[in-house]
Amino acid sequence: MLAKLTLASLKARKLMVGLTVFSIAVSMFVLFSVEHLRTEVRANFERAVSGVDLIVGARTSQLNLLLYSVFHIGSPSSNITWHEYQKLADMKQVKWAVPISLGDSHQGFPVVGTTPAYFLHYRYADKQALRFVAGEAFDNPKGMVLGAKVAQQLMYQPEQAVVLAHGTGKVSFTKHSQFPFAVQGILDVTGTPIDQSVFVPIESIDVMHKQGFSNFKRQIINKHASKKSNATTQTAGKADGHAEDNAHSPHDEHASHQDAHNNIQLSAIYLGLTSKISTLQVQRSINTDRQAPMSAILPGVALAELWNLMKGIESSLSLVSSLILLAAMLGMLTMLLASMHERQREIAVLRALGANAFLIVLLIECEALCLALTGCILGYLMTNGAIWLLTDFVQTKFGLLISPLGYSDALIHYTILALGLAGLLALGPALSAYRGALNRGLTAP
Amino acid sequence: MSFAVDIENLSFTWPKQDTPTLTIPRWQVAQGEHVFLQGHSGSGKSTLLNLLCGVLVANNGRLSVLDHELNQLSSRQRDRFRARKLGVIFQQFNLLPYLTAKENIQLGQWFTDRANAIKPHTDASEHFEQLTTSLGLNQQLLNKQASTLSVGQQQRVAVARALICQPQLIIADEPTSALDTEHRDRFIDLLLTQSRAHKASVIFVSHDRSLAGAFHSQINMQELNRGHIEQEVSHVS
Repeated sequence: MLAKLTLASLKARKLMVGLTVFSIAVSMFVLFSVEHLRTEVRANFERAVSGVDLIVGARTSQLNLLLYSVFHIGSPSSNITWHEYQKLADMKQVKWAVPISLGDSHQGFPVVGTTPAYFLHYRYADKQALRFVAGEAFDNPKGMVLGAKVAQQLMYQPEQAVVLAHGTGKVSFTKHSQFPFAVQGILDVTGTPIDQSVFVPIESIDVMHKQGFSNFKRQIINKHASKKSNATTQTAGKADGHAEDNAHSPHDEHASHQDAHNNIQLSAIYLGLTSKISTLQVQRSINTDRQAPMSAILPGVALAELWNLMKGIESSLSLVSSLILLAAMLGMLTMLLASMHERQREIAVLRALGANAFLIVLLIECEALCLALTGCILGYLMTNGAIWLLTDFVQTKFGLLISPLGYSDALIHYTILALGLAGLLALGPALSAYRGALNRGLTAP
Repeated sequence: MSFAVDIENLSFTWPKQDTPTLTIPRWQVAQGEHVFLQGHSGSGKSTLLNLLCGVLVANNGRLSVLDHELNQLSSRQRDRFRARKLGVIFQQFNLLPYLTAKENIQLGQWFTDRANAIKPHTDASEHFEQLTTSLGLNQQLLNKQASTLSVGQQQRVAVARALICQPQLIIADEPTSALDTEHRDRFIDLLLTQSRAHKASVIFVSHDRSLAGAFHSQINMQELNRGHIEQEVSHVS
């Protein structure tokens, strides 16, 4: 009966109640989505790289190295040579080494130059290996592997010929039209930046650029248009003859054709070590190598630094959403207080029927909690609705895979916070109604 | 013989006031008696009704309603007593506008059952049928939202709700002030007939002396309230 009474009373004040619930829902929506986005971004970053023990790049901050090598955010300050890569790969503690060359893009998707070993050794999320939904890793210089999102977005099929443009933007001044690739494999969805990446053999990037730079004019344009381009300019023009050779010879083994690789510029190297214990030792030996100014980082440590940096932003976002919740709750309080006047009659009737003052308090508390709970549920649904609507956009635009909002501790905490706040704030009008009921008697105003 | 109301040397002062609003040396209402209590606004009649209902508590004196010493009961006990033994009808606004007429009547029953700590009566529906039929409340009317009923219909529903829990004392505070003469006479007739059938006492408060004829006895608030005569400023509720 009490529930029925509460519901009927709320229903009688539809508009006010609706607006209040909506404002609570909006604030819960903000609260939930900020929290969810925070954890999802974190999860996305953390799942992006899991099997790599060390990432090596030209000397730079560990954050910069991590961001450009794994997430394709920012760019390397300078490159490392194939020679360095060889040296690292030959170290006895190193189990495998995968070179990465960045700087180009195709239709807005970053192009990653690497070796077939990449697909063998790279791990994401919980040490999951990369899987091909179609085809296989490239085995010739003109082979190309697409991330799941790229294939879906551009609707490329296996065997399709693709021409890469130079630069990192969507619009490019130069097109390496003489160097078409053929799609050889398409990767399964990983929920990491790999989905947005186009993979080509690392030696082909080098070759491709040299062809482009044989034209002096283009070289000038490139220098001005895209600073992010690989610093291949130094080598351009030097070894045109080699490049022609490279383009036509298969490279299954990078140990062979040593000379052909000498000009290749690398952005980063992923290292897998034979034993975890040697990680710090190897890192130290790379970092202190006087001949080659390189940095080696542990992905986990670099991520921790990133989270540390993000802490301030995260807590200010949380603060703002909490304040929004508070504002919504104050709105509810205003609504309750405004309704108290017209409800004095209602309370008088209930008192006359034998309702004790406690029941009146309960009734108003019930109502406030009812509003808050409905607001929370609505906010939850709104969050999931927004995720459902925007998930594709966010994945294409930011490379973040946002999973639907499910059950989480934070969710329960925020709901309890909202209910607690509602209950606490409603105590004001409830107690004033209680006192009124005791002192005023049954006379309606 | 037990009394429906038995008052001795009762006085009540509102908080923040110096002189008592109500001072009643002695007043008795027999069981089954229909009393017409006449008084203009500010004469303390609302205060008296609140005391009888157990919503307010007298400062001094003895107040016994249906053999319950209200002064000695706790606030919760008084609430329960009101739910079980009394039927209250207001001037207006008797009903919760957002419930249907039927739900309004059932609400009275719910509070009574709650006070008696029992599950709803088995014969409740039969009693409900009887009562609503005798008050001319048909099914269609009962399912209407209270706010959509006419004033006359609302008053009948209010009587039904006051009587549903078979109270021994009905307190009516200016219930006819919003009614025209025809509706008023019918309402009083209805109320008294039903009360007689349920053997309930009635204390009917009105400023309109012309209604007094239908009742067993009538008393003026000024006669009753000795304290009021000396009092210049009356409490405005």
